[in-house]
Amino acid sequence: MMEAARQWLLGVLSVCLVCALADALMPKGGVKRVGQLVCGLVMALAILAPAADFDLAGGQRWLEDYLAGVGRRENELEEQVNMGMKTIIEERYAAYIVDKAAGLGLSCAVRVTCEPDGEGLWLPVRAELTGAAAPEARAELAALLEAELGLTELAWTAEEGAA
Amino acid sequence: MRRIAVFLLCALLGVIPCLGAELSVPGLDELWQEAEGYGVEAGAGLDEGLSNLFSDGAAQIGGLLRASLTTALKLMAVVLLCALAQGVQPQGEGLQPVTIAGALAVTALTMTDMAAMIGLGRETLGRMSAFSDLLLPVVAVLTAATGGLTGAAVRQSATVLFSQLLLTAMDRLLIPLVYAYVAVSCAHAAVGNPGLERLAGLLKGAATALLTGLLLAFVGYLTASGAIAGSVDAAAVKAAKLAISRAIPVVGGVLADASESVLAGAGALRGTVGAAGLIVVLAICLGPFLRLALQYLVYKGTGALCAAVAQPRLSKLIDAIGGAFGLVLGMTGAGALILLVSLVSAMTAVTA
Repeated sequence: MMEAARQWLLGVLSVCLVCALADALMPKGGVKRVGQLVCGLVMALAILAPAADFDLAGGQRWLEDYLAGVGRRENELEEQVNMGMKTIIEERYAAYIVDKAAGLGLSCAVRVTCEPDGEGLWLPVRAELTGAAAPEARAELAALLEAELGLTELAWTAEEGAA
Repeated sequence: MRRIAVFLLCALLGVIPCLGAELSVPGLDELWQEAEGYGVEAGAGLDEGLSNLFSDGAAQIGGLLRASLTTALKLMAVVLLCALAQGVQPQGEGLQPVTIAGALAVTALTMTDMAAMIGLGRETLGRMSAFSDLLLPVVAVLTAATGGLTGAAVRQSATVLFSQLLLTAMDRLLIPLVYAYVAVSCAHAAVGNPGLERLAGLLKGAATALLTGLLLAFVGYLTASGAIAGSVDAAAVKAAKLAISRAIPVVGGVLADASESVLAGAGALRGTVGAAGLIVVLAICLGPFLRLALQYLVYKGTGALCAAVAQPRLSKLIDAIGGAFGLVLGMTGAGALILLVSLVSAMTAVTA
């Protein structure tokens, strides 16, 4: 597009210079008047020439490409923000579970995995707990987490060196 | 009591950027490194940055003015010599050798400046483009994190598109137009054909119209698309809030808490990054702007002074060359304005 504009401007410029030269060289009288008319027509043609081969389809393609690019960028941003939010939310759920476990007298490290529900909310689907706990305490914590977080999948790993 | 209030306020201001740091933003560290290269520290305020820029500008202006005045004195010497030669030359019709020699001498004297200033303008736009490659993605992620997802994508894409368009237009069209404008102005000064004067006016008008059109299109598109994207984003944020309110109370609490801290943190960080970006863009432009603006003013002033002592064609030529510097200044300013408008628009976007 820019190249076409450049060509057009160069064309108009060249025609202007040639017409100015011709105007200076033409003898006065009828020849000059006819010459000026011809120069005017040539200049009008040079100015209007791009309208004849205006590529409307090319412009439409360019616009479609641009809009597709905006859509792609929107998806990338959504992905980046969602992944960032997922990490933060998983940490918050983990902190909540550690807090609840401490309330039951358990000391454990927690890693939570979240997945989006139908509305795009990050819900906890799995928690990996590392620490020593009696089966009763585990069951109590599992029941509490299912009631409060809807979390059903708990994976316990005994801490190294724990009984 | 006042001390406690001030302490609490400082603590709150300190906490907000920390919350923003929770959300990982790709390219943020590289951006701060680049900004430090321009003397902008992470977290520096806008007022402090502007004050530093003002001091830098004031320190540079003396040396730049001296350099511009040297060329102006040379031009005035040429014009005065031409006026003296014109005085002893018999008046006659047709081409005037003294005027032709004067026009050629003025053009030859200014061509080095012209090439240097065009190179400076092009280099400034290149540096702004390189910085915007780092800045725009970071600002877009932070804006998206505050809920303005569609607006962020549209703003970044439009800014990149128009910046590239300006660079391409400058390389392929505007710089050739400026050279053509100077050449035609020189030809008019030498031979005095009124058609050439009109042609020079057409070339200058075309360059000005192109730059103005580009800027108007950018601002118009950004305003219109921003308004549409803003309503889409606001609806999405409202839907998300509704979904959170319908979730299990504890889950909803965790989600709302995380969302609010990310919103607040990303918003504060966006302000900090935006302010630093504004200062860096202004810092990139400061030196070139001062040089171009001084050249423009000095040439225009010299043209006006020469008109009093010499024939008008030579003073018009000097004035036209000043106008060419004005065009280069306009191109550089357009590049800076595209970035600044985009940044301010991103910083003021409110969705949540």
